[in-house]
Amino acid sequence: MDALERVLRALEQGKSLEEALSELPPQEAERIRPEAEAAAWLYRQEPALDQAASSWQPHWERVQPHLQPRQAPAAQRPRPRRGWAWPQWQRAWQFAVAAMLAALVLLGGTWTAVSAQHALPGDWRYPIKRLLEDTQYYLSPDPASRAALEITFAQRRLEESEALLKQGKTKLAAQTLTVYQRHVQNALQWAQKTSLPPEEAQTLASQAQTQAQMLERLRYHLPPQERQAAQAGEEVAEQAAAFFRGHGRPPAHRPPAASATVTATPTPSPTGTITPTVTATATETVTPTETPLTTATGQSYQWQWQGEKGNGNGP
Amino acid sequence: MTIANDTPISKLIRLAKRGDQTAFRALYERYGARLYRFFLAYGADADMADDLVNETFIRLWQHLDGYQERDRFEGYLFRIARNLLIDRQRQESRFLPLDDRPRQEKRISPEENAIQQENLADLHRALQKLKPDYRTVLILRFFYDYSPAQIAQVMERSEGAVRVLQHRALQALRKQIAQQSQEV
Repeated sequence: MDALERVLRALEQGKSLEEALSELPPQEAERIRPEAEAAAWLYRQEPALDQAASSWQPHWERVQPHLQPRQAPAAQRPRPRRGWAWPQWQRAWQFAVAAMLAALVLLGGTWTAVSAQHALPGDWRYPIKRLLEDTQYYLSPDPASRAALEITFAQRRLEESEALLKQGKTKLAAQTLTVYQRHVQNALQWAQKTSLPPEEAQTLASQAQTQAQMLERLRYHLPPQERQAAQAGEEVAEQAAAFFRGHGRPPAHRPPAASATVTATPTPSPTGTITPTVTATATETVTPTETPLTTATGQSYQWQWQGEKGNGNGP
Repeated sequence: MTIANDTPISKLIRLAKRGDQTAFRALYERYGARLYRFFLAYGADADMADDLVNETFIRLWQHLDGYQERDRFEGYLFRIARNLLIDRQRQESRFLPLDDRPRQEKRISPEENAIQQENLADLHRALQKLKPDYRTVLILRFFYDYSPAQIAQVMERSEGAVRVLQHRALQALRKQIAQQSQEV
């Protein structure tokens, strides 16, 4: 605190000017004496000021007419609504609804996908099942996987056809068998483009053979006019079984320039056109005895030798 | 609505902010005299001081939302009063009307009254020659016992600036007193 401030406080406490200045060193007191005298002089005028001020009378009637009605304080006024400035609870409610919808979509999608696995032709979920199969097919990395997938899908079509027969839907069952044939034909085409490992080839051969047996049983449950589809499917299955059996077989010996081309050229029929062209190579001399093969449906399958047999790697 | 005499200032201000004129009137009646004293010390005559008090409260009503409860209410009132004085002094010069001194009630003896009238006239004469800022500092410091920090709030200056102002104001006042003594 500076010297002047000390003197002013002393004066404020009611001390006289000399008493206030005596609290300071003489030189310091003399230095601030003019300001201290002015302050003391002001204190001496204060009673006169108080006396004059005591005459004040309120004149509310002169003030009140000028007071405009006041609005509520800004904090209490409702804020203008903005889209992004919803109250917290409304945003929470929105979030909850959005989360519920997302959960419903996810759960619903999952449920639909799972339940579609058991759908049969004619069901609204059946297209979803086929769509999922297509997705799986296009995600398969190589021809061998695609061939295996086609045989798996063919098996599903057989099972669907069997289920439809049990429900008495014979026409749908027959139509499903035509689709079965396409799967097997596709499997053969993919198998021609690659070299299947022997174990896998044998597995596929076994599956195709089982399917042929299934089709034989199914044929007798179909009405006569629908049996053609089953017969055609059975023949394609047997042909595929024979192909897979020979496809992955390890070569025992290689005869010179011996290659086999399997060409199935069925005549156009309601069950579809089957035109697998298979160039099979074998490690042993194979002489197909089924040339030409005429099926019960009138389709003929011809084995055509095209030079030397290959090594089982297909075309 | 009736307002009790001991109603806290903060409550009166809250009510007035909501538009309660009864509460505002209570504020007017509590602070009117102190404000009137301020204007008298500043050099206004009685009528002028009265007008200024009324006008200050009308301005206060308009700017009541600007008052924050952490501030000293009287300081806020003096801030409005000072700004009003600055505006008024630009327009007219009705200060220090020595021949028209405020009329006062005769509560004291005629001799005492004469002395006080003379003192008030001296005060007016001395302060009138000072700069407005000097006057404000001196009035608040010596007639209202405001600390430099409180004066700084009213004048919207720093505390250091107020101390400097106070020092210079006292020096200027001392010169004025000396001149008046010589004139007498």
